[in-house]
Amino acid sequence: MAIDQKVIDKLRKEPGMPDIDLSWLREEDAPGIVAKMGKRGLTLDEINVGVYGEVPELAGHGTTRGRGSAPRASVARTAYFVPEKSDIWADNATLIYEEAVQRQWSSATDIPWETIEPLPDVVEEAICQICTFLTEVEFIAGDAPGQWLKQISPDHYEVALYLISQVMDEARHLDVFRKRALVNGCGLLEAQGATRGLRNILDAKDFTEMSALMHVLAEGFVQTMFRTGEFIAQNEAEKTIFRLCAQDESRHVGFGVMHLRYVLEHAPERREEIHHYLDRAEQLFGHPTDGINSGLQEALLITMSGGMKNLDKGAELALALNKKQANEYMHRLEVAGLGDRRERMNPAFGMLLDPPKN
Amino acid sequence: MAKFPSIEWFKAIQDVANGDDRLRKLGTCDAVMGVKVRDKAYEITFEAFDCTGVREISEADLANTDFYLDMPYETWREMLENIKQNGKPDRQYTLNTIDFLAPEGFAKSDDQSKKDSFYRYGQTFQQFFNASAEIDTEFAAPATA
Repeated sequence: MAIDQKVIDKLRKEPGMPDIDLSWLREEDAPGIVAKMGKRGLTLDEINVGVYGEVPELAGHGTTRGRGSAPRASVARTAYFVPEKSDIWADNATLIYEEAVQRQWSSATDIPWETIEPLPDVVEEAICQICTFLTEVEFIAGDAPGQWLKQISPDHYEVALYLISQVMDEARHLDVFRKRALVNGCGLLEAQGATRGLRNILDAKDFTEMSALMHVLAEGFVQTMFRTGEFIAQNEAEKTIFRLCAQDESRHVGFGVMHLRYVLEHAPERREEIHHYLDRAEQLFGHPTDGINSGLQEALLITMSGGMKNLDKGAELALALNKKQANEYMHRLEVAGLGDRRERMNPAFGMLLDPPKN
Repeated sequence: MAKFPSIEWFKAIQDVANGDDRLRKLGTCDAVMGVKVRDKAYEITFEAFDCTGVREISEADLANTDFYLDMPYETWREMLENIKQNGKPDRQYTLNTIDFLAPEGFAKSDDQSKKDSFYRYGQTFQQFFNASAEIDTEFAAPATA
């Protein structure tokens, strides 16, 4: 709605009115935008219209000014943001953020905890070892994007909102696995420690590096593990935990793939740099059977075997899990535009790849 | 009594799922899921909070879906009978477990990113198939091929 200049002038000169400035009122024509609700409600995509939807390639100011609002000259700078859109953007950020908000769940009330009954000791202990590992992993998965929040400009606020939703997801994952470990008499077991691969994610100095290592590589692997979790689940509570966590993790992977695609399309000169990050990450992440996470690997083996018998069957299923992890990682890189990764993938992962379809 | 697989069967569970507040409470879902059973193919569309469309398609059209579910007829039958018996699947018959145990996977797509929507909305799709517990299903005769 445009503000009539005569009205502003009249207000300023009204007898008896305190000395008011009113400079915050728009004297020029306002955009005249009315956002309309869609099938999913009033989402960010619905309000990203007109000038409000014009995402600048470069965030040129260091203030908290929201995109579409009028600048004020005396405002202090508050941060040093990552200015380039191509360094942080993903075209699905709004969709995934809204979806994350819609599909939130509560570890306190949405998990049928009452379905957990006493289990054979070795199975309970194995599940608790897996939970111990996952509480650590999820702690890091919350920490890593959290480090980047303050560097996202309000001009690119969609990415910040997505990252905040991810931090919330990871907090819930940490708490739900901790709860599972404590709910049946076993508790947390041996800490696996932030392996070099996970430490590498925290140490990333570039957003795309962090995203490729965490969203595409690490969370891709964890997503596959969560899906497998429904098979090793002993009760309805565990099935629900793993299914809901897999959903959340898929959003994170989806953001990472689309970010990587955006970077490769808009800054193709970064291709070799990204390969370099992945060269190092794959080396540090290590082969799943290299003993770095022996507690986790043995616990997975026991749960997949259903106990200490049939360990051969468990080993077969664990290998199937590793193959799915490696192949899905490669396929996601192909979607992102990094199909040439196949030729230089670390042999520990490369040996698990199926031949290319074409 | 609806015959599986048929357009009537998918419409029947679409009605049950959409009439159940649990589907809406799971949150938005935007995906086009294909289902392949023997030589029949179906497209099930999810948009916002509902299952908005069910139609029979050609096998070639499965390539236009985000992903499609494909497994032997007998496994479809076992899964649906298990859901009917328990109101939901036990751990051997959840969508994710079937997908994990199938060497070639249960959800298929040439685009991993689209295929990931199967996992991203897993609870919604599970709820959709769980709705089959509310209807009486007639299974076709054993396959001859």
